[in-house]
Order: sequence, then C-alpha cells, then structure tokens
Amino acid sequence: MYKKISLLAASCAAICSPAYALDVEMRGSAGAEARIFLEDAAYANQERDSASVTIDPEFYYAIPDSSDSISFNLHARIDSADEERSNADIRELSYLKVGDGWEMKAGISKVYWGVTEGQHLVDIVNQTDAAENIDGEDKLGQPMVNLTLLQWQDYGVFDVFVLPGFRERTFAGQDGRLRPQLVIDTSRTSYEAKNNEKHVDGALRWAHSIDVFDIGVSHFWGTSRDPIFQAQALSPTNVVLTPHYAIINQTGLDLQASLEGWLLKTEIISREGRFKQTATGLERQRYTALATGFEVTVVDFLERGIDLGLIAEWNYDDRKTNASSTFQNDLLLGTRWAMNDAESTEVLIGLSQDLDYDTTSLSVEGSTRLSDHLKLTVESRIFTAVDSQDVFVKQLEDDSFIQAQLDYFF
Amino acid sequence: MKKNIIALGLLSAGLLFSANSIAALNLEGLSPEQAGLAIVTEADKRETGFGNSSASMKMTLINRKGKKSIRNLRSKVLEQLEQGDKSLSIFDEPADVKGTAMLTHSHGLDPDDQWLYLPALKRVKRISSKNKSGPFMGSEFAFEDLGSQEIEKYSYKLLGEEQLDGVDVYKTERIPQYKHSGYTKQIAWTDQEHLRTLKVEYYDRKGSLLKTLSASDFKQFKDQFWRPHRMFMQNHQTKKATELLFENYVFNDASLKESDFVNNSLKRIR
Repeated sequence: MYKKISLLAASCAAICSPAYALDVEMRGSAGAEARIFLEDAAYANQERDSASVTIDPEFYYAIPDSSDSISFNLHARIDSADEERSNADIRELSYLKVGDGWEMKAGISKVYWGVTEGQHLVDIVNQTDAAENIDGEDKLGQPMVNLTLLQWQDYGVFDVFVLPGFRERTFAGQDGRLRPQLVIDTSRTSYEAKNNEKHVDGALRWAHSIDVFDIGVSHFWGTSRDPIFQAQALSPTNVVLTPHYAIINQTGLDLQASLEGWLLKTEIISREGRFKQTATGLERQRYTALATGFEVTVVDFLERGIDLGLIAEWNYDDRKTNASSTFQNDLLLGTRWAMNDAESTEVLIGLSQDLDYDTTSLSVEGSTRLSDHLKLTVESRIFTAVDSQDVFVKQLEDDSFIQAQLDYFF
Repeated sequence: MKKNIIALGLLSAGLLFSANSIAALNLEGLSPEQAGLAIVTEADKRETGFGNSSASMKMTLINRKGKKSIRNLRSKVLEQLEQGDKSLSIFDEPADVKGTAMLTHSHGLDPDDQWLYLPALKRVKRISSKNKSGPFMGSEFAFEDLGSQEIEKYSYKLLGEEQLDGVDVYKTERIPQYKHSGYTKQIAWTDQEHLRTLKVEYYDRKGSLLKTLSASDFKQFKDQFWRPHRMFMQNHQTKKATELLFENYVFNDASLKESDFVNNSLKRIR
C-alpha cells in the first residue's frame, strides 16, 4: 500500500509537477447564437431557424528564457439545424521560434494578408470556413512551416510558407440555410493534384512599410482554396454539386496609402490554372481580379466623440459574368460607427450593389459590451433585390436573416 | 528633427544647465516664450537616456453616475534620439479585447504611423493617425494626451511661478502645433525642482475648460527618471472621469528589442 502511494507520488512528481510548473495562459470565449430567417426555406430538408453554441478556448505557453512559444486555439460549434455547421477545428497548434532577425512557425496556424474590407482577394493561405459564416471572415487552421526573415528590415519582411495538407472549404449542409439549391456534397470532392489533399503547396510574400505606404507582394502555388462545382446526378432525382480544386498559380499585390483621415486600399490578384468550365471539360485560364477603394474617417462626429468611417470599394473580375465569384462587378458602400463609449459599441452597415445585375444586399453588424465579460453581437444580411439572371445570389434570395450572438469571454 | 529642436532649445536657453543639470533653472532675462521652452527643454534633457521603459496600467472609467469599468493594459516605449519614440500598447482587459495591440511610431509634427493588431482575424491593420483628439479606449484620455510628448509639438509661454499644494511650480501655457488637436491650449504646472508635470488643464476648440489632469505618487527610477503612479483626468463638461494607475515600471529591459516595435511583430506580442 505504502509502495503504491509512493509510486503514485513519484509518478505525480514526474508528471504533475512539471505540468503544475508550466505557466500556461488560458483565455477564450463561449457563446450562444440564434439565427432567425425572415422567410420560409426555399429548398427541401432545410430547417427554418437555428440555434447554436460555440466554444473557443486558447492556450498559450511562453517557453522560459526565450521568446519562443506554443499556442493552441480550438473552435467548436454545435448547431441545431445543420450538421455541417456542427464541427470542431484546430485554428492554431503551433510552435513559434524567435531567432535574431528571423522567426519560424511550425504547426497549424492562420495568417492574414491584405487591406480591403469587402472581400479578401490576396488572403489565400487559409481556407474559408463558409459553413460558419458566408462573409468569408472565418478561416480554418492550416498546417504550415513559415519562415519570416526580418534581418533586412530596411528592405521589408520576407515570408516563406510550406503548406502541407489541404483543407477543404466547409459549406452549409442539406438541412442548413444559405446554400445553393443543389446540396454541396463534400464527400465527392475531386482534385487536380494526383495526391489529392496531400499536395504540398507553397507561398512567398514580401511586405514593407515605406512612409505612408504599406505594400505586400505575394505568390502562391498549389491547390486553389476556391473550388469550382460540377453537378453530379447520383440518381435521376438526386443531383448534387461536387467541389473540384484545381492547381493554381496566384500572384497578389496589396497596397494601402494612409493619408491622415484617408486610407486608400487596393488588392489585385492574377490567377492561372485549369478551372475554366467548358462543354468539353476543364481548360486553362488566367484572370485578374481587383478590389479597390477607400475608407475616410470623420472624427468626433456630432461632437460626441464618435468616429464615423465611410467606406467605398469596387470589386471587379475580368471574367465578368462568367466569374466564379459574386464580386465580378460590384460596388460596396459602407459606414462604420465607433461610438468610443465604455461599452466599445460599434456598428458597420454595408450596402452591396451589383453593377451587372440588379442585385442589392444590405449587411449590418453591431456589437457592444454588456459587462466586463459579456459581449453581444448582432448581424443581419438582407437580400433586398435579386436579379433572376444573377444565378449565385438568386439561390439565396429567401435567406435574409438576423442573428444574435452572446459571448462570454474568460 | 527632434535633435535639431533640442539643439535650438539649448542655444536659446544658453549655457544654463552645463554646470549642474539638477540645479534650479535660471530663467533670468528670458522672455516668457524663451523661459517656457527652456523649462521643457531641460525636462526633456533629464528624460533622455531611458532606452526603453514598460509599465502596467489599470484604467478605471467613471461615468457621471459613478459607474466604473476597468481596462488593463501594458505599455512599452522605445526611446528614439533621431525621431519620435516608438510605443506599444497591449490590452489585457476587458477579456474580449485581450491580445489587441497598438503600435505607434511618432513623428513629432508629422503624422504618426499607427498599426492595430486584431487577434481574432490575426490582422495587422494600418490605421488613420488623424484621430488625435479621439478618446483612448472610451476613456477621458485622448490619444494626444498619451502620445509621445516631443518638444516641437507645442509652443510654450511661461505664465508665472506659483505654489501648487505647497510645491514651487512653473505655470506654462502650451499651444499644440500639430494638426488635428482637440485643444486650443493647455496650461501645465511643473514642479521647479524635478520638472515633473503635476497638473494640466485642457481647453477645447471653443476655448472653454474641458479637462483637468492631476498626476501624483511620483517615484524616481534609475536615480533619474520620475514617473507618476496615478493620473486622474476629470472632464468638466461631461462630468466623466478616468483614473490611471501605473505599476511595474521597468527601465532598460534588455529583452525589449528594436524588432519588437515593427508592425510585423504585433502578431507575436503578448
């Protein structure tokens, strides 16, 4: 008995005490979300409204006597309506080594490139978690080795990425709203790469701040994060969309000039690959897409300390109406209100007008702090006018929604 | 830029400080403008050489009804001799903004460069630095109150010598020379022995008294640098107030590097 206890004590000394000594910093949030749709669902199997719970814990461990660290972030959601939206994803599990003039990160991580607000053309490293939200802001964790070279800082910062392991985009499932008429069947995904999702992708980026300019030039080679869809008849009555991911080369430029109250922003990409759908199959294509505009800030608006931001961005794709994106020729007008109050209340209202089709959509995002730990976020997307020629948005015509999210931060 | 102005300041103040920098200032024969500049130039000289410094801050916002809300943040400053200092603010509380960080490269009269790191998106965003008069985190402190105080940012005029709570002080008028300030003037009370700013009155764009800042609980570090441990900003127009308590001042931390003050490093700053 004694032996057993001492053994226990010894094993505890070996296991518990280092764990106890580890100074792991924990934080994160847990939340609940309700999504109310303004109209009945258009397609079979779709549930009308939904509720879900989320948890986002984060752990951080600073390795003693160094600048190195280990980070771990998890995102998990359970959704009442859509099992494709019920998921767990490791957003971050990485080791960061900080050297003299260089940094190396290995593991699962997230990087953000770009400057514009409406769409994120240049930002390609991480896959979009589209089941989470259709706004493209949520990203899946990407396995990577990232070397950052800082020793030539007078000439900018250089990043090299090796990206093993492809992440498929998530989509709303057959029970969920905000999906096309045909269900996207991610169990039938196909790839151009012979080794499918095991293809190792690569990326390079140079970024520099010169005076009022912030500039980034990047190149990506590997499996596209944007799929194309092929209709596949599983039976005469059951047709699904299957995602196909081509191998692409994409060169990107992001540029911002910060002129006192004015921020001028531009992102351009040129992408090449076998993703053009023709009657005889897929063909190679190169296209260019652009997002450009400005954000101007009026300070102390109404003499109440409010920062009023006015945003205008034009999105263009030279494939025009054959583009695989809804941003083929669209104008986005937005206004951002930062109330600068104790509750950090913010409101962002955006109006998107398609310049080829007569499609207009409105989005509203607002947030405020209810207490030191509790934050309320309200989001709404309203498809006010949808042109029947606009095949992408037409399928979402009945999916205008309002959602409220309450998050407890710890 | 800063160096030139300091050189000018030293010229105009003559050789007053060369004998003993801690001795009381001799302002005899100087015009009120020259004397005001001499005081701030000497104060700046006594501040030179801190290398870098960091501190924790607890900010308590107090509204008209006395309701309080708390922010915790840490600040790190890297001294620059040739140009304005570089500073980092890292937010710890409230919990929803934890990990948010702001980097400022100040440039005296020229617009500052400012970047904000948003941890949820892992996005480093260059932001407009025009908003000098805007509230910092919803508090009664404006960005310009907390920014790097370079000599050339103001014109100065000594209004007189008096006593403040039993301490001999200089009363100086400062008029912002940078663009987009929310103030037409400031009146500052600086103690004659250590040249510490004890009190500042801020006058709004219409010329009315807007706020009063009181700094107290000073301690000296490295036998040279005086720092307040409490600052209290009272807004007379909105009746709101903000208390700022400082802790854990550290000077010349060898682990703080130049490379911690570049925009790319915001992603890993903790």
